[in-house]
Amino acid sequence: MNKTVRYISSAVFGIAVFLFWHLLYPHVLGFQEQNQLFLFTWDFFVERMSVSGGLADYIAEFFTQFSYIPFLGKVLTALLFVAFQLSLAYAAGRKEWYVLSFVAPVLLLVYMCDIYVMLCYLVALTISVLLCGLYRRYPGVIWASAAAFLGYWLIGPAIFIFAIFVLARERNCKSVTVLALPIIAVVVSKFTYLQQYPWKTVIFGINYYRMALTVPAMQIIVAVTALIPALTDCLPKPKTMTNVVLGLLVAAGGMAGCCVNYNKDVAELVGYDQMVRHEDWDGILKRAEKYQPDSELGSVSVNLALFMSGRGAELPRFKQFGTRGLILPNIRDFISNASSCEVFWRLGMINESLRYAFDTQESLINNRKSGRWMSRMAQCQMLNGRYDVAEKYLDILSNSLFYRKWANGQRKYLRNERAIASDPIYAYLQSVRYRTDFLYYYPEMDKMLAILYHQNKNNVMAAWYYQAWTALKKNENHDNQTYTGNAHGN
Amino acid sequence: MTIRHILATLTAISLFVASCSRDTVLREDLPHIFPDYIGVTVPAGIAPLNFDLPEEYTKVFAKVSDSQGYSITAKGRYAGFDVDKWHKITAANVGETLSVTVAGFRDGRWEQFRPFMIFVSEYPLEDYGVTYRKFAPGYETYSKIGIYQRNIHDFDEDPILEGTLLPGQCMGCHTANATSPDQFLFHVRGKHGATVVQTEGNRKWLETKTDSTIAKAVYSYWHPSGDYVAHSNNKIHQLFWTGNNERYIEVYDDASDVIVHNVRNDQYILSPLLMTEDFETYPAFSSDGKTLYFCSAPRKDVPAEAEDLHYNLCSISFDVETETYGSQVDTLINAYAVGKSVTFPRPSYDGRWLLYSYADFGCFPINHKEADLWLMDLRDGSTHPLERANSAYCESFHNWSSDSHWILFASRRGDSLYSCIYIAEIDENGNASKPFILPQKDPSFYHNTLFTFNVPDFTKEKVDFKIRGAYKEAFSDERVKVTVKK
Repeated sequence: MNKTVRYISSAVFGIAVFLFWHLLYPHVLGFQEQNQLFLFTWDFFVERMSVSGGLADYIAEFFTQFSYIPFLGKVLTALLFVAFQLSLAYAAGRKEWYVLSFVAPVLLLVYMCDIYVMLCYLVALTISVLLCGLYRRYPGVIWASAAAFLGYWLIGPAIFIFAIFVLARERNCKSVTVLALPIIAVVVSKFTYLQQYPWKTVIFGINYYRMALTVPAMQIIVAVTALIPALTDCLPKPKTMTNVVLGLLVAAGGMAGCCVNYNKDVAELVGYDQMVRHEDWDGILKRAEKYQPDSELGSVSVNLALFMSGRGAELPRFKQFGTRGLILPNIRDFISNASSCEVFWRLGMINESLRYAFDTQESLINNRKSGRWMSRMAQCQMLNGRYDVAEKYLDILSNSLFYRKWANGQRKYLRNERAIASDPIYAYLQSVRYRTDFLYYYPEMDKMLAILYHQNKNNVMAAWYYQAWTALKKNENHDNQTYTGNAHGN
Repeated sequence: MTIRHILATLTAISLFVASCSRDTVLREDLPHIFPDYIGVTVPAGIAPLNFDLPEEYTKVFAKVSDSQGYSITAKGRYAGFDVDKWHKITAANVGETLSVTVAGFRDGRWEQFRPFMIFVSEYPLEDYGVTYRKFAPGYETYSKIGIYQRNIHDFDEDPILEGTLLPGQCMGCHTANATSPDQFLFHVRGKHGATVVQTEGNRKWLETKTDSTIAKAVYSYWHPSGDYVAHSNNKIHQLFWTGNNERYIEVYDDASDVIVHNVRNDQYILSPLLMTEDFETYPAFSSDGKTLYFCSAPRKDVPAEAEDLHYNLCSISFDVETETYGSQVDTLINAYAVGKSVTFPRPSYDGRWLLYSYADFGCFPINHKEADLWLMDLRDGSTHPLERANSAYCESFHNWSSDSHWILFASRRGDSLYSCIYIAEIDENGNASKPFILPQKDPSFYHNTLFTFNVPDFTKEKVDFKIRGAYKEAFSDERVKVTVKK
């Protein structure tokens, strides 16, 4: 395979990866960015480096933060995939088998249809494979042993790809140390710094998959396929037709895998969530008109978009999920509360918005924080006059790349009620929020909405939600009745 | 004064003079240091009280001097003292006062503030450290949770058990027997829940719900003999306030009882007097083990009447020989009558005092801004608030040092939400000194952390909880079932 073809095929692969994120999962990278908060602080770096795989995780989070700007995130992620593929090609024994360098990246892309797969895994694989390439050019058991030993801590168990590569290449006693050292590193880590992690996590990686104790088979398969190009020395030179057929097979297999693994429900949930985040009300309604919402969360987003775009009367046109499609009860995961949190915020139910934002952030099962939700928590605390807490959040956010400007801009409201009163959004929210205090009780949401409206007659959103709630509640009780949608929007 | 003292003093003075250029401005006011250590009372040997000035000061210089002329200094981004030197100066000044002179560098010149005092208590605090639970303070969900121990003589923190080892499980309060690490328990909540009891290095995982009790063990307290633990069985709920900026969460029980658990044979000893229709909770044994204190509130229709829940402080006798309770319950503080609520009784281990939370209503004072610490003199039953320890924010989750001269508690006074641990001396008359926050190496620690410090307690020595096997034991679901004594 000549250079030009190689470059073109890598470029095509990069474009395909970009299209995967742009067309199939257009909102997922933004969602991943929402579920982390990369900070430019020493403490943050140390925290990441304090567990195995920390460096890979740090690099991955660094790149993930750019998905704050979705297009940029997609481009960077595509480039990371290309970097992985080029690393595999770099590590390959025979350039003629260039096509095999696409197998692992394509499988990884298929694997990443699962939104629990962390970018950290891609980074760790890339570094490990790069080491294979370096070893091929600069063989040396001493540096390889050191890299394998330290590598476990820096990039996690993906270092075993490198260790196995060295062992397979050398096939002597010395090279056994390269494999033995990361095994020792695993054991030493488990009995020292990683005592508070189960063996399974220590062996299969702390930050490769968002959910602890879960190791999907695909994680292992991708790791195994990442070894293939590096071990092509023993293969004969392929014929051109072999490369073409293999290339087509990889491409077709990748597409088939993505189609099979594509999770439409997740794409919808995440899509609605991200469109609400970016206040893309038209986008939400266009999507809903094309594909009726298929979940309560989707319905919450669509109904919010209806109100926000002044099309509240069109509510009956869209598939409804009862009152839960207006505001969901608190659910302990990191997505279900999202749109309801935004509804509460706009309704002026500040404490409820704070609660949902907090619980969504704390539901991140890999113990991360969220720039989006921390920002909302800062706003809620500010409106509640808890300026010290708000300042804490703003100080943290100001150490990030994309939330810094916003956080610094919010400081003018700290301990300054006059400034809050002069801000149109904050002033409005302060004017329409509850004036009395009582205990929140989800089953009586209609009463709470009624109180909200009666205490603040300007709160037309509360009125609309109250009417929609009572109508949908009636429908829940009497399926033969339908909501006429006479209430108006904003 | 020894030559060493003189040399140290001269060095300190020269350093101070060097730091304070000719442009040094002398200010009459006290510095706004954080944490606020001005006028606090500390035990000798506590970790250094590192502090900082507001961010407009780019450098801080501090000199701690005693009456003998010995001093130590710190200079840098914040005032961070050498641990050994700090120990030395506090140990040399037991019962004395230390003077702290602070200068801050701002706009190209130093500003020197009026010195403030730190008092070194006559009472030592020889316990190893404190234990606590850490998690993000909020509502129903937590991402990272763990039980930790911290050496109070330096800055070392070690995890006892972290949620990373038991994913999906919540860990309850670490409860030791009068600060002893030889006997402790904690509850694990979740699908693989259990009560973990460790005595003399052996641990067992218990299922504490029985057919005769309404719920699992929640709030626990050891009998001084180490053979018994009093538990409350609570059906806990929480609701959320909608409109008031001062309060967010209301935790309440819609049923609760108190029982005693024989940890040798894992049998519950029940009494109808402690399992009434009313709400009994927060048990605590007296230091001699003959009295069981607890809180009791007349039953209310919760959550509708949550604000009418007022807990009294009660007691009942308990005989370990016969494993029987007394025949009557005594009300020691009738808080219901005055529209208040007493919770979390903690008798001192010397039998002299009983420390408790006093709030407007309810059973979960950490969420009540008005909750304060009060002290009962067990000799005559008189009570008084710990005025110097209390603040405009809540104080709760308190307990005693092993020698009963120090208390620690959690307070949200720092920023109204994140609880931090404070330590105060209790003198012979039951008065508290101005408390100091558990020192951290970097003074900005508390501002930067997203963890709250929950249910702190002193520990006499370092807790030895063998992590090995804990994961397997937790997820095996093999539990010792507690039975009820017939």
